[in-house]
Amino acid sequence: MGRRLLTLIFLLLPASCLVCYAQKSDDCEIILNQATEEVNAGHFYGIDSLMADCLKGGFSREQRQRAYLLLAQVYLLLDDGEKAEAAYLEVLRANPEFVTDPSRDPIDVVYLSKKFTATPIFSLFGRIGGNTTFVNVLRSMNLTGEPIDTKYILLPGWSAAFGANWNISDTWSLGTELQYAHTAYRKEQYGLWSTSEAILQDRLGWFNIPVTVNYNFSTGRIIPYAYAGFSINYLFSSKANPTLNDKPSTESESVTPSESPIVKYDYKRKDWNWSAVAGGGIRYKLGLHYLLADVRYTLGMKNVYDYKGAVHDNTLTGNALVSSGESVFRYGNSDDFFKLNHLYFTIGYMHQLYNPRKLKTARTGSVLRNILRGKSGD
Amino acid sequence: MVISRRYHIPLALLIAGLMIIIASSCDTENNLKPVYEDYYVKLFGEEGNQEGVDLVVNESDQTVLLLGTSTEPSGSKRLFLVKADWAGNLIWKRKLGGTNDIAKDIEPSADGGYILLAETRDLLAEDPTENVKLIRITPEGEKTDSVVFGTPKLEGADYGIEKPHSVTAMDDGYIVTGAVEYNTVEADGGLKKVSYLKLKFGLDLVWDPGFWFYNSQAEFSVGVKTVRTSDNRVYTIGSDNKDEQGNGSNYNFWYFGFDYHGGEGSGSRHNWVGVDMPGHDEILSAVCPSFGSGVFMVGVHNDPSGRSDIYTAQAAIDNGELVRRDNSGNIITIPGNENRLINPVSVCRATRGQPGYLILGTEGVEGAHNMWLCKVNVTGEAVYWSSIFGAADRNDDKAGAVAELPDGHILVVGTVNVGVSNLKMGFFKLNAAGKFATQ
Repeated sequence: MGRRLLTLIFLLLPASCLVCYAQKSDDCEIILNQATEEVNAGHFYGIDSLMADCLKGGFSREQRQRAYLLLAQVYLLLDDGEKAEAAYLEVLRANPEFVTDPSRDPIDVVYLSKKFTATPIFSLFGRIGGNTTFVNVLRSMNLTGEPIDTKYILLPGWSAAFGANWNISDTWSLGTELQYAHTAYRKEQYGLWSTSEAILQDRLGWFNIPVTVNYNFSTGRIIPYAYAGFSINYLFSSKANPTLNDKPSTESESVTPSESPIVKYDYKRKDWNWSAVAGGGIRYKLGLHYLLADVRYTLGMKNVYDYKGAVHDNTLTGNALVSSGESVFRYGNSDDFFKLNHLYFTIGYMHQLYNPRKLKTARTGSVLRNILRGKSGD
Repeated sequence: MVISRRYHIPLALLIAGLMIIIASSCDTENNLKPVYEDYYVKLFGEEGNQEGVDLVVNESDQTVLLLGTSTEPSGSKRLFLVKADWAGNLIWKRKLGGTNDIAKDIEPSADGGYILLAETRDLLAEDPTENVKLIRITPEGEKTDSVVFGTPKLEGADYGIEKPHSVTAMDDGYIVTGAVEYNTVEADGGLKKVSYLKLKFGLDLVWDPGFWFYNSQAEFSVGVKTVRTSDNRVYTIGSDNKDEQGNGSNYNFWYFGFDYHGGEGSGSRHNWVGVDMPGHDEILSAVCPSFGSGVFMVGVHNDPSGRSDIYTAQAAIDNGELVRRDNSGNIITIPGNENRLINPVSVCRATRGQPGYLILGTEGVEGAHNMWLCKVNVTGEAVYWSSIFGAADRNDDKAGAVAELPDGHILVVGTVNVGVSNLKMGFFKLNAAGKFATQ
C-alpha cells in the first residue's frame, strides 16, 4: 500500500508542477498584457514593478523576451539608457536569435539593438559517418622484378569526431576537431610468378586533428557551407591479413590459398602524417541548434609506407623464432610507397554557444538604409 | 559579409603558412629516398618451383648472376639463370640445359663468360645415373658450349653416380669437384663405395682422362672444392672418415694434392683437420680463399650428444703446397643460437669493416628451416654477428650462396617457400651487419 502511494506521489509530482507552471505562465501572460496596455496608454512608471514577480521566474522564455523588450522600450522613453541596455541584453538571453524589425518595433529599440549581438563565439559539434580510402601510389615496389597487375580496391570505413568552431563572423569561422577514423583498403596483385595472386586487406586506425577555415554561404534555416584546411594525422594501428593464392601452372584451375591471420603492420607504417582537407555540407536549423550533413576529402601528403619495416630480421623469443618478415617470405606480400586519401560522409549535431553581449561599436549604419529599402533586421 | 579588417593579417599568415607547409613537406616519387636499393628481398621465379643455389658478383657493370634450378609443372628440371643489378632490379632471366638438370655452381670463366655446373640425368641414356654437366655461357646468358660427363664403367660393370659440388675455373680449363659412387660394384677391391670426384676439362670442355676420381680409402668421401696452389699443383678439399692407411672412424676435413698436369698425386701431399675422437665428425661444406694465401674451410662439427656446431679451419699455401698450422679447427658457438641446427653452405671473404668471413647456412629443423648468416673474424674463432631470416617456423627456406659487395653490402641467394609449397629464388641484400637496414 505504502509503495503504491509513493509511486502515485512520484507520478503526480511532475504533473502538478506542470500544472502550477502553466497556471503561473497564464497569470504572467495577463500581467504582461496589462503592462503592454499601460505602456500603450502612456503610463511608463511602475511597469517594472508590475512585472517584477513574473520576471523572477514566472515568464516563459518567449514571455521573458516580450517583457524585457517592453522594458527596454520603457527605459528608453524614460531616458534611462543603462537600464534599457540591461533589459535588451535580457531579451537576447531569452532568445539569442531575436532580431528587431523596424516595421514592428520602435525605431529607438531598433537602434538600441544594434549595440548588441548574440552571435555564438563557439559552436560545439559531434559527427559520425562512413569513409572510403583511395591509395595514391608514389612508387610501385615489385617483389618479383616483373610487371604485376596491381589493383587497389575501395573498402568502407567509419569515423566519429567532436570539435568546435570559433565563429569569427556570421560567415567565417575557424574549426578544429578530434577525429577517430577507421579506414581500410584492399590490394590485389595478379600474375606473381605468372600464376599466383597476392591479396592484402589493410585496416588502419587514425586519430586526426583537422584545422579548417569555414565559410557559410547564407544564414537562415538551411546553411550551405564549405571549408578547407589541413589535418595532423596519427596512425595508431594497422592490421592486415596477407593472402597468397597459389596456382601450380597457368593452365591449372586449382588454387591453393594461404591466408595469414590478422597481424599488426604497425612496423610497416609511419606513425605521423598530414593531409590537406576540403569539404562542405549543409546545416539545418533545429531550434537554436543545427543538424549537419558533411562531405570531406582529405589529401594525404606524406608517404605511409615505412620501408624500415619491409623485412625485419627474425628474432628468437625464448625458443620460438619470430619472423616479422613473414608477410614477405610466406605470403609474397610487398607494399608500395603510397599516400592515402580519404572521402568522408558524416552527419552530426552542432550546438551553438550563444553569448549575448554589447558590441564595442554599434552597427547602426545599416538601419536607415534598410528602412528606406523596406527591409527589416540587420 | 566582409571579414573584419583585423582578421586579414592572421588569415593571410594562415594561408601563407599552409602553402609553405604543403610545398615543403609533400612526398612525391622524386623526393623518396631510394632506401629500397640499400636492402631488399626479391623473389624471382615463374610457374613451378625455382630454387636459388649460387651467385656471381660482377663489379664492372654492378650486376649479379644468380643460378638456380627451375622445376616445371611437368616435373622437368632446368637451370634457372637470373641477371639482376645491385639495386635488385631484374635485368633478365632464362632457362638453360636439359629436362633433368640440377644447378650446382656458377663461376666466372677465363673467356669473360661463365661456367655453369649441374648434376644431370637421362633415364633413357646408356648411362642412366647422375652425371656431370658443364655449360659455358656468355655474360648475357647465351650458351656457347656444354658437355655431359659420366664416368666410364668401372671394371666394365657399373656406371658411377656423380654428385658434383663445385667447379673451379682456371686459365686453361675447369676442375669439377664432388663425389662419385658405385652402387653395385664396390670400387678398389670392394672396400670403398664413394670417392672424391675430380674432373678436369679444357676450355673446350674436353675431359682430361688423368682426372677422374680419388679413392681416399674412406667409406664415404665428398669433395667440396679444388683449388690451384701453383702451376702444377691443385688440391681437392673435402671430408671423409679414414686416413691414408684406412684407419679411423670419425669424419674430418681432408685435402689432397695432385699434379695439375697429369693428375698424379696425393701421396704425402694430404692432410686433415678436425677433432680426432670417436663420434666427433667434421663435415666440410664450403671453401673460399683466405686472407693472405690459402683457403678458409667451413663445415659442421657433430658431437656424440647430437649437438651440431659450425666448424672452421684454415690452410695456407707454402711453396705451392697446402699446409695446415695444426690439425685443430674452431668450433663456433653462436650466443643465443646454441640450439639451432645450422648447416653452412657458403663462405666468402668480407673485406669491408672488420675483416673476416661471411658464412651462410640453413638453420632449424625440418619444416622450419631459415637462412642464417654470420660474420666471423679472420681466424674463424670469434663471431662478430649473426642473423636469421626467412619465414621462421612457418616454412622451409634454404640458403644458397653469399657474396660481399665492394661497399660492404651483402648479397645472398637462396630458396624461399612462399605459400604452401611454392619455391622461389630468394635474392637478398643486407647491410654489412647482416641486417635488412641501411648501412
